[in-house]
Amino acid sequence: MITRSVKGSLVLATGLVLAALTLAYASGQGWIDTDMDKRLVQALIGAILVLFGNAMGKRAPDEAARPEPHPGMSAARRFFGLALVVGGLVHALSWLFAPLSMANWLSMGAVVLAMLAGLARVAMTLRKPAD
Amino acid sequence: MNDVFKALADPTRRQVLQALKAGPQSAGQLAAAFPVSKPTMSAHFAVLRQAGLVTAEKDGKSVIYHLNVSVLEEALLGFAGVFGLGDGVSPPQEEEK
Repeated sequence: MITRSVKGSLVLATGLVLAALTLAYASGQGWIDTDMDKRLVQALIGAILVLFGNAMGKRAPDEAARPEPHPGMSAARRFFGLALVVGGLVHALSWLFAPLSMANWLSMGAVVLAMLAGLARVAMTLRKPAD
Repeated sequence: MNDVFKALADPTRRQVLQALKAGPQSAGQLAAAFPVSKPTMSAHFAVLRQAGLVTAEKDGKSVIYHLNVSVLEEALLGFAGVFGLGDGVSPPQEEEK
């Protein structure tokens, strides 16, 4: 899975930088609206967050061989992944469709809320004694 | 992805995945919860393992199954259940023949 390896992550990061440079060039040439390059790059960041969140619930084959630190950790990881997917979608959609003055707050709020919800679920799981 | 759709197309396999949402279970515990023979259940586990939806861990003589799904796969599992995907299909033993 592309988001579960260093190589995959580097490919994604390179793609993001290239997309940002292309959009900045297109904006400089007047091919796209000046705000649009910022919106599209932020939407791409949201999409990458969705990709990482999606992969979070799944353990890579080498990780799967190791036992879970807690029986409930798998469910907590899936919840964290879902929260990140929702946060990433809100991030992308708010940058695409919300007014620019609101987009920053909306997107950051959604991502911070997703992180807090995920971390709270992991903390609650670890506090519960294993059966 | 084809393996995932194949795995989710069977209601018994979907029920196994739903059961594993509560936490890891041994093959024996899972097999006891379904009115199918052990070889059939074993074939279901093999399909799930091949699709990467579960991971198996040896614990002495028993095999413990863990749910191993992405957010998208979990959503697909939910959709397949709601729409009753493949509710009339034959068990995997018969499919192999």
